Amino acid sequence: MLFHSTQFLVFYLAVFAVYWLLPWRGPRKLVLLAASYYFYMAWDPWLALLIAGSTLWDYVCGAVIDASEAPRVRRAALVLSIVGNLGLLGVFKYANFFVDSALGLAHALGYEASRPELEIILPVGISFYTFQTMSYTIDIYRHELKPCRNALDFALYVAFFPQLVAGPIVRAATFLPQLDRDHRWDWWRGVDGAWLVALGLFKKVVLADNLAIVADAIFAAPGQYGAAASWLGTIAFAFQIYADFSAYSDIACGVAGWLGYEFPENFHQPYLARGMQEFWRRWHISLSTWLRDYLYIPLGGSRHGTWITYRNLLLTMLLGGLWHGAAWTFVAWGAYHGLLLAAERWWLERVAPRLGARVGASSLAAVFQVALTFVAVCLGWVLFRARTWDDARVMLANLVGLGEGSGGYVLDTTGTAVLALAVGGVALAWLREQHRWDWQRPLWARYAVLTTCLAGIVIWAPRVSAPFVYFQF
Amino acid sequence: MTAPPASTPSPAAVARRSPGRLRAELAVLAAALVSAVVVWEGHFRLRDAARPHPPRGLFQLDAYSGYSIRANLRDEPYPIFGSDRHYHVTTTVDGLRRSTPVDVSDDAQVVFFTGDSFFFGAQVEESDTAAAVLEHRLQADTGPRGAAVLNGGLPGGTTVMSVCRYLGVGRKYRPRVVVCCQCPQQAVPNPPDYAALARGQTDPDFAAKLPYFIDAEGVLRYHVTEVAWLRPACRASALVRHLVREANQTSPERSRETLREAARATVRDPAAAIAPFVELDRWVRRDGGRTIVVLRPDPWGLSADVRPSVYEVTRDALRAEGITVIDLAAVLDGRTDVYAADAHWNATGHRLVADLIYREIRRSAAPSSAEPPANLERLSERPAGAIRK
Repeated sequence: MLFHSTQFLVFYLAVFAVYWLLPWRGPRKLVLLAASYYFYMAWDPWLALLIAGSTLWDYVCGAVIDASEAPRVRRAALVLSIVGNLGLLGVFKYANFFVDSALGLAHALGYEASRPELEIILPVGISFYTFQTMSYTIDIYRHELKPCRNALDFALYVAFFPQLVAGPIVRAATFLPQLDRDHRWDWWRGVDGAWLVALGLFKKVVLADNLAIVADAIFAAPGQYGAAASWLGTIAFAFQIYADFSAYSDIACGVAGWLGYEFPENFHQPYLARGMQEFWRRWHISLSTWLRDYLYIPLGGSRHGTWITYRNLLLTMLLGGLWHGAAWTFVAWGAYHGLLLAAERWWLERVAPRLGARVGASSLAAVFQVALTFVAVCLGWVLFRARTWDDARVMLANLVGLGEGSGGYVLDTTGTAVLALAVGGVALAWLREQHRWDWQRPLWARYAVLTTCLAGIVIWAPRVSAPFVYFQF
Repeated sequence: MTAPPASTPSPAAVARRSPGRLRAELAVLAAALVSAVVVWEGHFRLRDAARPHPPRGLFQLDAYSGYSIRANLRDEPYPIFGSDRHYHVTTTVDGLRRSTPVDVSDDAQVVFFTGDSFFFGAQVEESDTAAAVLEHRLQADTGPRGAAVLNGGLPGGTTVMSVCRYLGVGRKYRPRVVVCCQCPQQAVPNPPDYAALARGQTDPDFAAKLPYFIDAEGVLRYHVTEVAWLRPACRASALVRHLVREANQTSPERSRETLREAARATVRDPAAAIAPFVELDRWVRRDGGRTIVVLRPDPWGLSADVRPSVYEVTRDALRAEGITVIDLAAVLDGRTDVYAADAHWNATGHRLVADLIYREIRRSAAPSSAEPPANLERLSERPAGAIRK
């Protein structure tokens, strides 16, 4: 049940009506819980067992951690929780990857083995809700969170349908207190939600789905294309994945807001970042802060010297890459970002201070830094998007002018318009961030943007819309 | 559990949120929504107007076959798909595609073509149609008044419409051979009330029940809804039409699935699927003629994944009924030089088909003389048992 489908519209209108017609908090939460399970079971009814099992497991672990004063018991319960969650991920997401990698290694060492038949379907959203429940037990272990006393509340936290399948990863400390409030309809929330949903639908249906046509065509046969077309495909994918993923987050925030719930911001103009650290403070914020709080800092963060810091950055990003998908290309993408973060840290600590005033803070320098960061991110997207190592190698060779292909890609009118809209959107965001002109203030500008979004959703929608990219993670 | 939500609005944002600003924001939302509706309506009107198909003014509503070709057209130009050129259509008083009067001797060999747009000759001039080419070849054997081929092809015509076309128009010319061209892969559901039509029963409200209407620009269109009260709204608004169409899930994939399901139904029950052909054959035999069915492959491959092949199932079922079948798949499959830009036959394709029909007619000589129907006036009493809705 995709956010931009008629099926979801009918589902959401029904939930919205029943939710606000009920005057009591308890029944409202039950309605949301039932709706969330129905929403999840629309993919596959059996998935409900998995999420229910995961919920129960972490609820019990959290209660045991909180109830016990004995460090060994607390630690054991925490380990059980983490093993349970990582076990779920290991079986349902990474089993095939591990088997294929082991077979590849055996083959390289001269051993041959037949591949066991594993028909494992990746449950939608498993990467998101396992990270949420892990954060719950870890926070209780750290005495940063009191456990949820009501199992149904906890079940709703894990399964709440707006963010269930593709985030944002909402911490228990953010969500659970909202369940104890009496929600009343707020017209401001209605306006904000309308904007988020309209912008989200525009980004998904108009930008992401149309840019996917360009990116898919070029990444499908990278050997045929020259440098210009390869850059076009890479940039199209860069905007596609941003528009696609941030659209889901926007719509999730919007529809949750209409029900009285708030989610943290998940994207903050990542392509305006002036460095890789800043990029990760703006891109998929709920994941990057999760990795920071539950992986990077426990590894030691930057407290144990330069090389340990670099190692921690690399390990964190490697695992972050693996979180995105069970393939070595994702691991390589994570490693690439880890190396870039380490290199940037080295530059900022060792080289930039020596340059001193020579690295100015002028607008031109800012534009250069933004452009450089964007190019670095785009090169990473090649690893992320390519189907195989060979495709990634060919595409990267094309980008630096060493490819063998020379074909071009002719953008049609819609493709050109959509790319222009994407670049225009970034320019508007830049003007706003630089406090030069805020399009969100004058009513006429808000009217123009909203009308364009609403009109575009219907007019520029391609005939076939793809599922959200992050559903596969 | 004390941490606040991460997206708590800043004090500045709260300060801007005055009641006056809220009213203005709601007004912006409403104005944008109204403006978007106006833009959508304009967009869909322009899009509908820009579509080359179906052609304007070619059709008329017809209480007998749902719709038919308008009579007495004179060199009406219709756009050729993918180009800025036109093909031209001239029709007789019966709506047959023909620019010369039917002037034949009493013992002339008359061939009647019924079927869909392929026989009609969409995208090609009349002289390039299979009917014209075949007539030319037959007349080369018999002399100018010794043969005529009447083109009753009807774009979008279904198998049942082919029967009605023969009963309504073709039969009075007493053809010795009736050639019906259809594509079994495109098992278009037959419109309602055809069984009654084939029995000659009239219905004063028939026009209102038709699934078709002709819009203000003279374009024949399908109603996109079966809900009566929505039909006026669909006629008035391109946006409503689009929304209803989307709600009906008539997306390409959905249409494809509908056709696949029809193809699967054909495979499950071939007898029901070929019933209109059998009915046509019975009428033609009764009138002293013979039927040839030209089965054409579907150039779009809409139900190519249905196994066993609906084409082969239909072909074999027709042959089992003793109906002569010209198997075009055996000749056209794999050829790209016979199709125009929109996948109708081009002049080469029509010539090839005409040649096959000519050879079939010559191979198995038609009955020496077609006896006139026993009693044309009593046709309405004939049951049409095999014709399905």
